[in-house]
Amino acid sequence: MTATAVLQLQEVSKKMGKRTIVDRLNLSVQRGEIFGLLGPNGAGKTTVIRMITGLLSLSQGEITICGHSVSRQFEQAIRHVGAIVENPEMYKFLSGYDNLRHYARMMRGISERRIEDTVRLVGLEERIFDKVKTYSLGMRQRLGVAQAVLHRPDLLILDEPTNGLDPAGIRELRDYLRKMADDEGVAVIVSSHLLAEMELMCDRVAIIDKGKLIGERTVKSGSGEPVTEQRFVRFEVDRPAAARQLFGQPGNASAASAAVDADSHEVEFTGTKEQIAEANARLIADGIKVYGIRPVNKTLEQTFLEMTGGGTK
Amino acid sequence: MISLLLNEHMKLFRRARIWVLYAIIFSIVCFASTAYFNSSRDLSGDDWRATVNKQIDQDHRTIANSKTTDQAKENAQRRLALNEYRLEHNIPSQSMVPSPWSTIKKSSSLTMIATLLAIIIAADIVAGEFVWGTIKLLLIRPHSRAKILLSKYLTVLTTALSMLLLQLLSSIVVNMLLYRFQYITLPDLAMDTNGHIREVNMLGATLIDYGYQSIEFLLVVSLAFMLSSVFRSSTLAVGLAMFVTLAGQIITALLTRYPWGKYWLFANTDLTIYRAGAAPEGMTMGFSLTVIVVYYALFLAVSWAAFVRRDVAI
Repeated sequence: MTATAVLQLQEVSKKMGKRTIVDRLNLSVQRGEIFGLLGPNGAGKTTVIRMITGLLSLSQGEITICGHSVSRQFEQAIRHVGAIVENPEMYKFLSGYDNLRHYARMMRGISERRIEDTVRLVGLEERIFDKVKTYSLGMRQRLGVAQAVLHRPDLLILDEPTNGLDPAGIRELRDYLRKMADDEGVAVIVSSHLLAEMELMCDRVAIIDKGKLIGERTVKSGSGEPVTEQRFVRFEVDRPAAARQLFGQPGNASAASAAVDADSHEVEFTGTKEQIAEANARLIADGIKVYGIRPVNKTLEQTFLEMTGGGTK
Repeated sequence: MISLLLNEHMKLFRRARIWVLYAIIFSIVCFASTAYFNSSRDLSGDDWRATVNKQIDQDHRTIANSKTTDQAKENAQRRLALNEYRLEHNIPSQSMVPSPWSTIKKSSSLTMIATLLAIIIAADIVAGEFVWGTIKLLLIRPHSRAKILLSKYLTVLTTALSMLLLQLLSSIVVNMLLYRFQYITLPDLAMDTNGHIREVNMLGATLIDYGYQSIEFLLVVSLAFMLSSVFRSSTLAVGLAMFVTLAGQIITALLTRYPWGKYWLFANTDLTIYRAGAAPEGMTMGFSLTVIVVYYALFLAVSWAAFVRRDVAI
């Protein structure tokens, strides 16, 4: 699109046999942007990442990184990329440090000093000389991040980076990616099947399903609040019919939708935090017993349609 | 390229496996050398002249006997000439004195074992990366796949040769110690077709034997490397390469009945048949060398195509 596009995919397709795994995908990621690749398992996220990193050939289309074609100028293109593809698989019989040295040798101009800085950055300095086979999944994930950022890439690709990280680690990673993007202008691509995670981490999210781009949207609102103001919950009540009536009343202050599951004692409700609390108060005020309020994860498509406001009422 | 080679060597030598293989080679050399040494313990080396004289008498009688075949007569005459040369120049036969060299020279036949061990390295070096999943992080660096493959092949070659070198050097050292450095300068005798007798340096002769052995060694190693690149599975590559190597000679024997049997690789890898004048009909040194080169080029081309051209989807 513009001169600042670090990564550009044009009409990219991947066919394996008769199956089309990725179908005419168009994407572009800018400098300083954290871009989320969201989709259920098997949607083609990893295939896209493998094509960007040159592990898979393209059946059609073109991918350019910093202006270099991945298929025709692989070495110039991949020079700008740091990545974790699926799990961060390292040489288990080597120490973490030797793993980093291994990758450092493959790139020009990475000093011992840079390796040490990177190790400190991912917080592995205490265990870096231990063999990788003794590492926990979270530590391997950190080492994976370390090898990806070692050469200060312009494009950082992390495939399911929060796998195996504890909540504190996830927050750390988030802050770190933010810093990389803001301070060093790195373009970051993160893939995940977890929507909530993406919303907290990314500037922009593309949703992929069955190899197709089904939508793209900017995540952060001006106030910095997460976009999922709309929550989806189920109330477990003693009189679901009454509850439904209550939610379905015309002139209801909340614009939220409500639905009843006929068989169970559960009533579905969508609204903001405040609206949920209000709904609860109203139920109780009407003498309806509330046994529980349960948040429900919706399918990606549902959520996405709601996010983009394209959902059916 | 240097850094790629450093990486490959680091990955190879930081694992215990390679040291186990080296230890196996060393142990086998020690074991075989000691066994030979014990069986020849009675040799004092003092009475070799008596043995030679006995053989000379025997050969004279054989030649004089009218019932002897021409072939036997010829053999007797050759031995007679050699034995007379021994007495004259004071050069005992390697087998009559406690000399380390006959065992050292024989150690080249242990190359079969080194071959099987080198297969383990060659069959794993590409496939291992796929099995571990590390291939993904290896290939997303600014190096072409061809270069990465080449670094792996060169590493396999140097490591395989280091195994052969260990076999040779440990055989020399162990036997020198066993025989207490006796007769280490003793040459062997060789007679050419014209009946001229020549003194042969034993180290040179040993190196030549190793040279002949290393042809099959390098081809098998390259075959294992190719299988590694094609199948991306260490176990399958090791298994297949070992099978082909072990069954190679049997298959050669089976194929001799067919006119195309001579195009089978293992019918051509033993070039000593030309030295001994035992070449099968229709085969020449040039023919065998051509077959070897064609197979070798094929192994490398297939390795390259399988590694550079194919998708990595693990």
